[in-house]
Amino acid sequence: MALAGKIILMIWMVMVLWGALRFAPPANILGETARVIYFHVPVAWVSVLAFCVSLYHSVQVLRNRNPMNDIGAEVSARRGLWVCVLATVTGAIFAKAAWGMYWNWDPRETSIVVLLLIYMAYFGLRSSMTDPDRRMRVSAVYAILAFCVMPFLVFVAPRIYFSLHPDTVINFEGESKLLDAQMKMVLKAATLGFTGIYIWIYNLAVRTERLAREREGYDV
Amino acid sequence: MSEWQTVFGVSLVVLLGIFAYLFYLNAKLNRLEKK
Repeated sequence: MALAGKIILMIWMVMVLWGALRFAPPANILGETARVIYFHVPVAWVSVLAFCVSLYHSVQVLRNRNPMNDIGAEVSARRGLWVCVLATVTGAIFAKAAWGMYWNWDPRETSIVVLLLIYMAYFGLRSSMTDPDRRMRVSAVYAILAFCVMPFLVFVAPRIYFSLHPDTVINFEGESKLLDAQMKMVLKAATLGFTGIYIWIYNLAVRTERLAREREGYDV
Repeated sequence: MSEWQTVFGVSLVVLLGIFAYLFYLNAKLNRLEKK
């Protein structure tokens, strides 16, 4: 990422911070605590994006056996997993403030734990194989299967069962339960900013991993 | 803990954590490039 892009992103994130803490109004019922969503929702989105990128590279691995795609898949899945942990922690903090408990095995919380375990197993699988070519192919197949489960765990399961998770029911707009216009604006800006940060981290991590593998003697 | 302390703590930890990680990655990349 060019220096100008980094500076713009930094300024953008400062604006997001100001928007989240000052510009956006407090939410109905949940009050000031609802401001946590300006960090929680974007990081949850970035984790889904990272898993999508990992899927893309995994499919490419099976098509062309290019180690660069293996690097892309691993790097993206690892960052997706960490960002998913961050989304879980920020969600638990929000849950404590809103419902009085950090964790209560709500359908959303349970499904996210299952998702975390699935992607942790991906790294367990990778580390269990020493042959680079076999590791690349087997983990690509696993990443594709893991991604098939992800939409069900993130988007479907929490909506089938009764859940305390607020979804879009934060502020009221007339009869429909939607986010306030200012809240939507800050949320979209935050999502865009966090996406930019993900792209920045992804690029750096791919270059670092490529160099590290070259130093270890692997063909990249 | 007050509502504001919670929100401020979460925002700082998330943003500072991410930027600290960015600087760490950058330093690691520079170290590998110099080798």
